[in-house]
Amino acid sequence: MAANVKKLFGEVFAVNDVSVTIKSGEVFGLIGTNGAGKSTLLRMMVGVLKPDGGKILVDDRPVYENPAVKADIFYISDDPYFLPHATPKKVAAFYSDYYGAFDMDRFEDMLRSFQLNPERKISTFSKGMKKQLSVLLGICANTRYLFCDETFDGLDPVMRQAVKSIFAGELAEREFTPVIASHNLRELEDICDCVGILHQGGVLMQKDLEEMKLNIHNIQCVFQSADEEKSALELLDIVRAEKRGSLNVLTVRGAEREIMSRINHFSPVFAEILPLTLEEIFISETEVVGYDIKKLIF
Amino acid sequence: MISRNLFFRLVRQDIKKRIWCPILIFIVLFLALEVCLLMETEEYLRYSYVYAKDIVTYVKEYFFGRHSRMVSVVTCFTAFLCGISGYAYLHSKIQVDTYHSLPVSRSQLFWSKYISGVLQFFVPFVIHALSCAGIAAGKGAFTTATIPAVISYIALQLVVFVLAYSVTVLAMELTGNMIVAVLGTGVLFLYSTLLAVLSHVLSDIYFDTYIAYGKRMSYPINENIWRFSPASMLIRLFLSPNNTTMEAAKKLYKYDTSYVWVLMLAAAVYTMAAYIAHQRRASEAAGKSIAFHMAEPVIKTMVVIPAAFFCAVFFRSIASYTKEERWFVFGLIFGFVIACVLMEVIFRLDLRGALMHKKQFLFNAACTALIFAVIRYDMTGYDTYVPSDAQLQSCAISIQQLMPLSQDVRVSSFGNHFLDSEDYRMSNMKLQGNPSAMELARKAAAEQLQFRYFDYYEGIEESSEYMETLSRQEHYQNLVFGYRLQNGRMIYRKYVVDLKDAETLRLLADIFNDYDYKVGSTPVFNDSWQIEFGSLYCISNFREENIVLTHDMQARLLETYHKEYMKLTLETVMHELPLGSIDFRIKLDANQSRYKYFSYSGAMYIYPEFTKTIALLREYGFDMEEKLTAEDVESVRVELNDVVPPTYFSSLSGIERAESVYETDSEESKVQEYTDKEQIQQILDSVVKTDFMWGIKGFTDCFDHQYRLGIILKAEDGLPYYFFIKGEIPDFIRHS
Repeated sequence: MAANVKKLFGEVFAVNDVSVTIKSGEVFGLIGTNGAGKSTLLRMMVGVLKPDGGKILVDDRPVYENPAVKADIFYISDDPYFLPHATPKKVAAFYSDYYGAFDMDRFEDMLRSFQLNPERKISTFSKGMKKQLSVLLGICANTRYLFCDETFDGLDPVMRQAVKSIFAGELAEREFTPVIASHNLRELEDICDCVGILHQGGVLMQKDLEEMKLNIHNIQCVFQSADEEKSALELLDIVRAEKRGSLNVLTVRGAEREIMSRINHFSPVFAEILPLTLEEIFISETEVVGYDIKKLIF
Repeated sequence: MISRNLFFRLVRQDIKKRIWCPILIFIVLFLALEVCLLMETEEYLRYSYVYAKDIVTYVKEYFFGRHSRMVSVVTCFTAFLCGISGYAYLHSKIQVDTYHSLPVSRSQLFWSKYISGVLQFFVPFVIHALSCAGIAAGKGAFTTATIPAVISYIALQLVVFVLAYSVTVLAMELTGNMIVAVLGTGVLFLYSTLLAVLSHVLSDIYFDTYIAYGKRMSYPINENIWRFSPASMLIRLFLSPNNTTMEAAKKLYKYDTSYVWVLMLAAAVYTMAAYIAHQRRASEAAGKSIAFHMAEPVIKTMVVIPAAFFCAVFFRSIASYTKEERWFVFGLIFGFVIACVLMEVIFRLDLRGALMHKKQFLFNAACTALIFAVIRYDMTGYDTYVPSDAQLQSCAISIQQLMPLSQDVRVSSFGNHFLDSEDYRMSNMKLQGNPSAMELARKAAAEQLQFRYFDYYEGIEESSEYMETLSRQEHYQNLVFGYRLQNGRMIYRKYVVDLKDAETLRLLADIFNDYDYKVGSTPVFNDSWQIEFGSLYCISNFREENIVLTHDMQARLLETYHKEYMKLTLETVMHELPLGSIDFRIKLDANQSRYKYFSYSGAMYIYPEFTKTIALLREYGFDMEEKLTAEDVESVRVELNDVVPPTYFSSLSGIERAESVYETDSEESKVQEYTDKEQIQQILDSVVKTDFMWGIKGFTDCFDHQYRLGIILKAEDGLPYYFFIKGEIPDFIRHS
């Protein structure tokens, strides 16, 4: 949990008054454009940086300078560091010194699955291979929390899918909470349970994706008269409204049944609910606060 | 939880990570220890006759002792290497992110790397030191008595290492960029030394009465400047003290063992400072110039001001005498601006940062200007300071170029020690109750006479200002006063006095004639009285001979000479020539051959009025008054010294110019050889050995430097050089 966290670099707030709560066992996506403060927030969450204000608790314990808490955290940075001239095997040995539950056998198995040579120097690896290796190290460290900073960038679609599968497997088998920072919403939409959007150092919103999908709907409807239309729309929590002739295209918050009940009360000529993509949900949600979410999608 | 096992695993991990470091250290130490020992012992065995001590003592006292100062340089280098490589991760954002996200406290991370660094030096060093002990044993140069020396050797180097290492680590902790860290290490390592050197140079330039005590490179450890930098401490540890007694000068000085505690304490303080900095250092400091921004203005001021003055001194040193002041000011301004800009660029890592912090620029400029004004215009009254009688406990005076003792006590080829006359006087002379001493000090401080120097150019003699100045300072002479205050502090001042001034001469005579002055300036009457010299080197105008002394002979001679020397007056010194000199020497070790273990006490002059001493020497077999006859001489070579314009040596006083003329290239001299017996006899009756000039130069105007003479004997190769006695040059030479 991060509460009112602040981090100042010089005279600039990298993170300003951010509060985020991550539930155990969920996949949390931290989304934001470059410079939004994702990495800074993540580095504070893993105890690398000390917040200038607010507090960060992991299992109700402060994380900064707390090795006991950090023993449950593995951090994969945007640009992971590997020992000079190290091989995957040596790096695993390095991490196993710090993480008592590091599973060396599994690591070797996974290296084989990902076709990474355990004896090859990491300096000869491609960027994608290094990212794969980082993820494998993070998984095999067997920590409860895995913080990934832009980890999916640089992975090809096959590998991305493979990593997501591993995450899914871990989530199913043990207590595991990955926190993934990315500047691309699409990378996370099929894996995250909850998403927080950071903008200019502050959290724009934090939502559970399922809840979000259930709570916002796209409606197309035509009413019999203008008066009925006006009365019906007044009863709805409209996020966005568009009119094409007599057709109303609405994005409305609320439960599907309740929305339809209110519309049907006015006996519309036509009314139906259309599926809403995650992108459309975010566009709708963030447009309200004047944020151009498209930057994170395209 | 992090267990103790983990700590050692971290240490092991760190060593593995930078395994190149201990390997490099191992190689460097191999060269500095084993190879050095092998070469030195080979040299010893090849030329053993030049060494005063046996090889066991040599290895124990020198290799595992005095040699530590050389090894310390290597140790500091290895410490720098370990510190830089161990904490380089602090300057890399990706490494900091990795290490600081790991489940290990910063404290353990710090100490594991710290211990790892120490081990990377210590283990190879112990191996090499033991290997050296083995080599020494193999050469029969090792006994059980050497074991404590080896242990001390290892312990001392460990202390030196930890001190230099902790300073490097502190610099790494305070910075976030490797180049800045290297510069920072240099600054921390040398700062107080450079400050002391700067203080010395500026004082020397602007304070006419300033003198660095001892002249033996002790100014880098100026007592008035806090020696917080390792370089100052190491210089202080290894710098031979100013020998103030014959006994002290004879000993082989290793290092000041009592000062090792200061090094240990400093190492502990620096280590703790580095640890605290590590704990407080923000991870985001990686990549920035400095980790603690609040230190930035302090560091800037501390660096910029001395740097400006160093630059000023540099420009002054390459400028001519007449324009050195303006070049100093130019250098000060130039150096200040460049230093300010460089500091800003270093801190910002951006050239555009050069124009930032104008307020601090102005503050530093004001400080620099203030310091310059204070020293330039002597606002502290440094040059006019003379302690009051109430403050003074006693004083020591060294009259330069008057009977200077110069005892070169050569112990062996690995220990050549020198007893400086000024050191000896400042330490041993305690003049009290002689009002002339302080009267002369006050007079000199009030007059503030100084030598003025000119740049020489052809035709400078036509400058009346120049010639007047030369004439005015023809009889200037330097004096050094050491004021011993009631609070125990010693304050030294150098004055210039004019020997043409009758009052000055009177005061000087009062001082020279003072019993305490003579005792305090002559070790043989002081602490050396009990030394068993064994031999006496006698020099007269035409003879030199070594007399073997028994204990009784020595005692009688010292007593007799002491009585007569105490009656010697400055007037006699100024107007009479000595008949010869005696020089007490320590008995040569019978088992040693040439160069070994001799010392000389410095020439002690015999004047004609020392009748009892002359008689006693005659009894011992040396006639001071013995003359050389023309029959003994084959020829006399008379060199007319080329008359180099005296103004060429415009920076020197009169007598120094004369010496310089004397030292001119003989190829340019005109040589005339005389074989006529009558002429030779005339020459022999009017010459004086050049040797006699050195102890009384500047006071005795009895030598004519125009000619230099070499006397070729029939029986022997020849005699040393001679001058004519002033006013006694034979006419046939003058007109030749």
